[in-house]
Amino acid sequence: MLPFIARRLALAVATVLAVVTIAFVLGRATGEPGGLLLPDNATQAEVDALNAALGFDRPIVVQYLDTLVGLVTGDFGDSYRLRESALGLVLERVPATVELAFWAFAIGLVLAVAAALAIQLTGSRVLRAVAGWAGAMRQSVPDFFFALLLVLVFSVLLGALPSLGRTSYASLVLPVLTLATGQFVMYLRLLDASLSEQAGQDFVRTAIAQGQRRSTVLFTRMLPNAALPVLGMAGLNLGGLLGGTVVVEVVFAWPGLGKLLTDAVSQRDFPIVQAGLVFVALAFVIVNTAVDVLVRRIDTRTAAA
Amino acid sequence: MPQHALRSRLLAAGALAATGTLLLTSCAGGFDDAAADGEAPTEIVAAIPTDPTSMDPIRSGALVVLSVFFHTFDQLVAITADGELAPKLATEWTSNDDLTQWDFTLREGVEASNGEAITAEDVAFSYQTILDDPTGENFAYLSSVASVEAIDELTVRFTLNSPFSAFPRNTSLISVVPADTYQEVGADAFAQEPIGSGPYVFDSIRTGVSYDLVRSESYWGEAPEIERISLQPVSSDESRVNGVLSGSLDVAPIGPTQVATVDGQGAAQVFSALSNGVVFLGVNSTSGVLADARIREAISLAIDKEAITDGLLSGLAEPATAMLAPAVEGYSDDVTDPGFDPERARELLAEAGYAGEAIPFDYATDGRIPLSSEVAQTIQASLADVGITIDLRGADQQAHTLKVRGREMQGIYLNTWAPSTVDGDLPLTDFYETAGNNNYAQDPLTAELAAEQRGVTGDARLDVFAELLSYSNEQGYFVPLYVPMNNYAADPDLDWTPRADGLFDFSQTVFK
Repeated sequence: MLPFIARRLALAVATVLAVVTIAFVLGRATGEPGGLLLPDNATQAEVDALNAALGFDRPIVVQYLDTLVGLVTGDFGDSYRLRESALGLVLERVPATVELAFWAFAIGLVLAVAAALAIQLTGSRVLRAVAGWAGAMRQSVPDFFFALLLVLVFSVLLGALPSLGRTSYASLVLPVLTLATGQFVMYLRLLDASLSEQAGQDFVRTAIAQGQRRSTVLFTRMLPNAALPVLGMAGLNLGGLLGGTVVVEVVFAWPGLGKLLTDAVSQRDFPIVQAGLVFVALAFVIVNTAVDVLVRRIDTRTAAA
Repeated sequence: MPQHALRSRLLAAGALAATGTLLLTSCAGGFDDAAADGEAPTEIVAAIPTDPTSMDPIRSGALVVLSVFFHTFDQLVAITADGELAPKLATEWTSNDDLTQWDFTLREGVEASNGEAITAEDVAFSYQTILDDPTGENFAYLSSVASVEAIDELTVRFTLNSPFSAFPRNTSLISVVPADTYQEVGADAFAQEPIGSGPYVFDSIRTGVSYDLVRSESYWGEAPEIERISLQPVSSDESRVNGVLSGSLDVAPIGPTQVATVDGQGAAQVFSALSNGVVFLGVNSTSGVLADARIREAISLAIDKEAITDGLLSGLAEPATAMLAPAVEGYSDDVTDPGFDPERARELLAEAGYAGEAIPFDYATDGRIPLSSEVAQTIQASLADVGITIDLRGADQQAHTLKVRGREMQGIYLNTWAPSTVDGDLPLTDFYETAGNNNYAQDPLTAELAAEQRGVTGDARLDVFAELLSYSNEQGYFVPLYVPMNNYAADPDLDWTPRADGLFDFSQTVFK
């Protein structure tokens, strides 16, 4: 296990380095930010002076090394627009993002497991058909549109929930519902397919023939097998959610990472871009490493390999 | 366990989960209903379309942030909702004869919310700090200032590099900070806990989330009716409309296509008022076929401005004949454009020997001009109708802005200018003076006229403006397209007058 973790750590460092380098190159290719920071009547000379003050007059290699030094020391510099620590601004957004990601992920996953088990235990075709249909309908609607529908029904029509902002637990409901339903559908598909496939296999039939309860077979034999692909996907998904969910954040004016990062990209606010990407890359790597470790513990085949 | 028992257990679990969800939802209904007790609400929640920058008014100069600063700081003068100049921290101002020296007399007894007296020293300090940093966001508004000094406790004197008749208007953008406090805590800490002398004080700042203000107890003027103001950045048009319709927001800027929707609902009222801006075509009159004045005129003649304002924008804009909006000081009814005459455009093109050379047309696909893509396509269609070939080049707003700043346009481009001073000086400097970002023509006559208006006042100044704007139309250096309206959705009970510049100032606002 230790060499495995060491390998993953090295991989994580390489990933972050690659992310930062790509962001640096692409960022510098799109122009310097001075022209976006000053009012329309500022002259080119004033814009040039600002760009120089921000360090854009230095050789590109020096700027890159400076970025790397910042990466190592954790000092990404101040946001050009807000003149506050870029890392501070990113970290300020993390709780909102984690809150949304966690609830969407947890509710989606738990409900999907519950639904998949219910389908197996009841053997109900109606239940499966309903879940399948509802899932297909949800998946065919883009997040932003589904979010707007929820807002129209629950906020505008019923006046029951706030349509935007992060002011109370109530403001969590609609954004979480938007994301969780999307997550739910994915996991339900995966689980149902896996469980249904196993239901016809010899080890399940044998166990039932031996007189074991269907629920026991389901929980002790089938579910652990079905959990592996779900875990793999959950790792990717949770990593993605932690990276910010721009569409939902924009619709609900949710103060998460995604909006901060996309705004920073369009504003050429490079310190925020760098700090944000490093955070997202690390979150992604950590979640996926944790999932891999978990999978190795559950799956005896990969543990032996 | 028998099959049916398990089934009922699962059913029970499902029912429990469903009840839990419902409970959560119904509890949530209790939020935001604090003002439902029949009394007029005393808090305004307003959406601003973009994130404000730093809350330090010395360093921060982005327009959107003025919607905060107008409430929390004093500026020397105010621009009223209809664009007039009015006293604020200064009660009167005079200049010497050649308009190079301006004395402002300050109001007596003004105090910042922490008790520090606001005197001429504080004004001089605020301006001097901006002047000391040429890379600052506010520097461009004060580039005419050579020096600033406090003459006595209530008099500030500005000495300018050259005559500038509209100088007082530029001071409406510069907030005055209490000098001792600012220096004591330093700029960074001040940005976290800003102190000013405006009618409101900061209650809490959550960067990019909400800027909450509460009525100041020590304001020198008449206390506003509204006790609390919360300014919240909401970037999506759709979310702003829904925010107002659902009661999460009291007032929010909306796009022209949403006005009819909101109007039809009855749950909100719509405010629409002509803005201080002009949407126009910039023309690189030195490039390719555009170097021929006849082709530039043909472009102007070919565009049906009313098709844009009445059709595309549902009447929420007026065709523009000059490069200034009617609300802006310097606008003149006498300035005319060549009008809409496709037949004459075709003649001019034939005369000029135009052979279908493609003209690049840059525009931003989002951002500052609502429906900019559709506007660009409408213009392309008009131009195609008379035989002009257009090469449409869309980019995001920021990339487009950087191209404008770098004067990189090769053909025509869609742009807009809305002077926050509601005076013609800022845009006309940018259009017609040598260093102007939109000045491709580099015509010495326009540069001369743009400078000349600063040295004269009153009708003489308006005459110079009219001459300059007419000349610009004749030469086809720009094609003014339309003056858009600022549109807002608002709580049905809000009694409010929108400003021409689209910024918020709620110090006169009430709920009916």
